[in-house]
Amino acid sequence: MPLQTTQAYVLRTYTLAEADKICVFLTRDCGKVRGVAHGARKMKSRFGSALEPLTEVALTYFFKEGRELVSVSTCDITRSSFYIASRSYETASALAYMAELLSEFLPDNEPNERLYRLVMAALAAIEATPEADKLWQLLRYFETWLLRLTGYFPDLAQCAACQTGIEKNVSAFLTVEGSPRCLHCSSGRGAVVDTEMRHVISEIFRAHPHEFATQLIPAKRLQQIGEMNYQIIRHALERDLRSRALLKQLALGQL
Amino acid sequence: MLDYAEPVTKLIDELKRLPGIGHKSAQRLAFHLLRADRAETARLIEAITEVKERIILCSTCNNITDVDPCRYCTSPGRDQGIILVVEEPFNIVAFEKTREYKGLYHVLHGALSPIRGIGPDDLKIKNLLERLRAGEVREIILATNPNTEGEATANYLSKLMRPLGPRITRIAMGIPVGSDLEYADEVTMHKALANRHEM
Repeated sequence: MPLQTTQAYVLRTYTLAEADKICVFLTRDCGKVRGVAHGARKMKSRFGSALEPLTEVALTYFFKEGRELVSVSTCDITRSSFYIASRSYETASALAYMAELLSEFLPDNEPNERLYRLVMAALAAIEATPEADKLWQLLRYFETWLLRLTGYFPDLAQCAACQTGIEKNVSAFLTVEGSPRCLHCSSGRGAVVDTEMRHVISEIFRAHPHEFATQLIPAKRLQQIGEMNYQIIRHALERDLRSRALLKQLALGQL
Repeated sequence: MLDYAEPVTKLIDELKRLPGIGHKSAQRLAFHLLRADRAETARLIEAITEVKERIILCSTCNNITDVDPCRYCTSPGRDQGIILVVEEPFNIVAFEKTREYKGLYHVLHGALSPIRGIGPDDLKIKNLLERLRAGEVREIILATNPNTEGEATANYLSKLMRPLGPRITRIAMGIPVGSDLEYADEVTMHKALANRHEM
């Protein structure tokens, strides 16, 4: 059985039998990988806290051609997100949303170095930014970039129907499928991406997450971008994310 | 065509629905039951039926019980001023084994888990707040599991209960007794240091 060693983020775990766990990893070299960690549920497990969500680990696993699940051999912590998640219920929910998004959105075994670095940068920015309102700002940053790196984020500068350019100082319109239209082709129908939203989106693509977190963005703009992103996510997945409903309630202060 | 006679296949299918039981284990259990004498299988059926018919949740602490309120809630020897909050009824057994804890319990029946879609409304939090409002409780010990979901639940509960006045504590996390420091990971070691005590 060939052995693979790589850096990885733990995305989520499921219990398996008495003492084992099925783990979903986002690996740096092999993309999304699922594996079995034997004995991981035992109190004195050799995995310890390494399998907590969004912990970065040095992962070693055995794999067999044609088998969906790899066998996790070692999993040593490089950087834990346990302290960040322990900060508040809001932060724990935000990290759960990020993990679910990655786990559900990415295809298996397709490495994406830029996406791996996005997760690193987003987590570092969340760790460095304890203010609750900035958490939602960084989540919008993360999901917008995730959509872009996976090819789902629309090019708002060009109408997908007539191929003409959409100037920065006018609104774009998104169809239900997340395809951009100019005013003429959309006849004003669809989700409006106004000039202010387009400006925030261009800042997301320009700035490092630490820098973006320092910018003052109105909560309404962030909410609109969140709605737009989720429309694209939902269309791509053809279902809702479980963590999304709770996160929305938290953002609105309903919990 | 079925591999086995229909009743056997049906039994295997039902056993497969139990947690941790795969097809092979289900098949082994089914054949064990098939070979067992009638009295043995009758005892098993009776035990399952009794559990489903007699076991209820305690209206005070949500523990599983056959009398309401449960024996922990009605015991005169227990300190009514301390409540230990756990995720599942079987967590109570772990604390009872210590013979140290003499307070009351409260079972949440789960932990907050956004990724699994489990929010505050899915847990037994409402009657915990009602117990606090009754005014006799001096301390709440949050004994949810030492993982991300357990920590999130403890954080949420402490924020919710703080205005109601009791002292809120969290069970310590650190190195398990009998293990070796050499093999402890950084998070466990950090928690062990943070929760160190005076000697």
